[in-house]
Amino acid sequence: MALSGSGIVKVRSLSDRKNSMRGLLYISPWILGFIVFQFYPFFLSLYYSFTNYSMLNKPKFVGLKNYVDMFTRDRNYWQSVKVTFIYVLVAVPMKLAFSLFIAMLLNMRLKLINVFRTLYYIPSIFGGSVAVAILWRFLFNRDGIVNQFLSTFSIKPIDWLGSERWALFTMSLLTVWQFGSSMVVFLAGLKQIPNEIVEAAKVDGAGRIRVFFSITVPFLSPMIFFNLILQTIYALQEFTAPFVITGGGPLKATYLYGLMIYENAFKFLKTGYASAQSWILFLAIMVFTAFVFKSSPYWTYYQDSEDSK
Amino acid sequence: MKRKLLSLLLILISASTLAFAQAGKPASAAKDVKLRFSWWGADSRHKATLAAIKLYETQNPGVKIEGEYGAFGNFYLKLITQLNGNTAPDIFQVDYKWVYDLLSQNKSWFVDMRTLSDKIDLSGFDMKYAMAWGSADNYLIGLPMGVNAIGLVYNKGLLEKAGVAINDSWDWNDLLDAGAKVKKLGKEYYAAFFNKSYLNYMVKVQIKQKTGNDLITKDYKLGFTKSDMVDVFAYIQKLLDTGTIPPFEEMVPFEMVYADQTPNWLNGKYGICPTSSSLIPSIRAASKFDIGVARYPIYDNAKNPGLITAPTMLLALNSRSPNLPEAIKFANWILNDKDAALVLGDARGMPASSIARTVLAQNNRLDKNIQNMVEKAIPFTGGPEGDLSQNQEVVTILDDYIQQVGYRKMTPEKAAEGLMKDLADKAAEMSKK
Repeated sequence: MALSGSGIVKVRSLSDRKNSMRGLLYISPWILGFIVFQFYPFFLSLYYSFTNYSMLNKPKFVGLKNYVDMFTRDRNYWQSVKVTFIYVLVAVPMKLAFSLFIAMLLNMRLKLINVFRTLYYIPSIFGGSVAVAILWRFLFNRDGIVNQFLSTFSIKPIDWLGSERWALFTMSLLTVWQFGSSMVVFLAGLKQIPNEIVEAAKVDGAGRIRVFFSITVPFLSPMIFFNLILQTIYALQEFTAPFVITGGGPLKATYLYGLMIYENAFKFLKTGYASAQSWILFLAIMVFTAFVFKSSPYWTYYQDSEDSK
Repeated sequence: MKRKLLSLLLILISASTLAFAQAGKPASAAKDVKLRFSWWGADSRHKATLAAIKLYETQNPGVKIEGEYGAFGNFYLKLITQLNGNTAPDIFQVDYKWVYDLLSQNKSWFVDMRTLSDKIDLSGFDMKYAMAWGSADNYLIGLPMGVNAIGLVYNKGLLEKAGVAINDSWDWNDLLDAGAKVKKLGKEYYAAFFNKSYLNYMVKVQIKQKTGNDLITKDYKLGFTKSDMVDVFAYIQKLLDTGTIPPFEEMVPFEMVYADQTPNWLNGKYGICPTSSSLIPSIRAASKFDIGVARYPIYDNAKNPGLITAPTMLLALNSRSPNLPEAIKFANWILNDKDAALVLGDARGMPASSIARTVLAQNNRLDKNIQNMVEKAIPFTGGPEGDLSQNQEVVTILDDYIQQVGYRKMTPEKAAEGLMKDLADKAAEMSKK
């Protein structure tokens, strides 16, 4: 292959092209799957968003009506946007902080530390399910275990799932509990922090907190960046937790955007309208992601880049 | 040579991913017919239905019937998706609440049962009843399999202890009186528990009893005045204020389940639960105390008693089924055959077909409590609920306002105003379709 630096353009040889063909053949199952299950439905939903499709009959074009109705006539739209925003602002930092904390604990050199790592990862495999919902209701019921535990400190029972104030928070604990994948990323990041720097700092008299904020966090910033984007994207689309645990209530306090799309598409048979709502969500996610990417040079630090402090 | 093998392998992999992506189509062999039949229910119904299917298969060699069954929860969603993708079963159950939405969207997908009068014996059915609950715009989507009635189930011991005399002529004030008496037993005792759908139902029934109308009438207008709805919402607040029902914060975790899964019913803290008769067997099995049944409350001087005696489900046929004649034959059998009736028993509520009912009565197979509840309700039947009021968005709108009242976020007046405005908007939208 030609080296770009030398400025010579080389025509690709026959064996190069054969290699490319073979490469394409290798990934053809994935390409096929992508086109059929992601690319095509993606643009089909864009088409549906301009129609009044209901899954039971042929779609009829209605132009921008769905988009206009969404912002002006939907009783629940802005409530759902607000609730989703709050959810993301609460759940994502909690999840990142918690997973970082656990990762640091699991970074210690103890016997059987691998067993602990596995155990702490297991909740993330459960996903959202009816079993988990029953577990959550059992824990957070008025006479549930959490309240029983709190009563030993003379705290009166709280309606964790029944009151408007607490329902969203209680529901977001579910995603915090399933912190496994972010934890693993942080753990890998922690292991790359060069020990010499930490020791040098300690020799210079830096305390634990100083080491954490001046060394650990900057070195982890790429992982924080990665986890922040991924977890926010997931959180913005969260559906299973409200669907199985609270049904969107009480009083729409947990009516996340993903649940609203589901209800409109399948319960009210307004699939075209739901497609429009999904596209707005998609745009919001794109804007957020672009914003974080643009801002990243200001706060992320990569070990193998030009300057080292 | 190695390269050729590799390429061949890759092509095979790609081809097989495509092959599995195709929807499965039933084998259309010359002799063996395969039918798919889907229903919802609890374990007892699944067992009974599977036994009935086995019986049919032995009587009709060459026919294989695959049962697709599960809980009620997501049945509707699954059915819609299947209909959309033309993968719906040959025979399936339909709930009366979906009839309007399904038929108004696309009636061609369902067989109009009246066109089958030469192939299915309709003599055992009250066709007026069937048309009232199972049709829209004169198109009969399915035949009723059982009759369900709404009533009250109560904890005999608890009500006795509290000195509550429950009978079959209660009105809504009697419920409040019972509330006061049960409260004396202790803070954690409540006379009644209404889950989300029963609260919704209570509002609709009270409106029907007051005005004789559904929430939204056939000409897309509201069937009630503001003061009617204010009264109903004020009643809900009274239920809360007097401690007749638990506070909403306590009810919410169990708003989607029935008495047999409500912890405080099971441990004897709630006295009365509304229920439909078909759920009585599972409630009785789960409750470790004596239960009794009573008629649902009706206002004195009600314009229309309003009690729902709906079909437990309707049996519908997929018009695009590749084996329609066989499907029709099976449907006729399961609806009318005497042996089928004996095997199914009251798994689908009290049978709607008089043929089946007679067989069961002769063999002493009708559950006394179910029979009781149905018989007590039938004289007070309110006729079918208007199609428009069963639209899912209308139901959700009402649920939301009930919650606003229940959580004391809105006064009955404000809630009534808001509800009327939103229902009027939705009615206008529906009238344009």
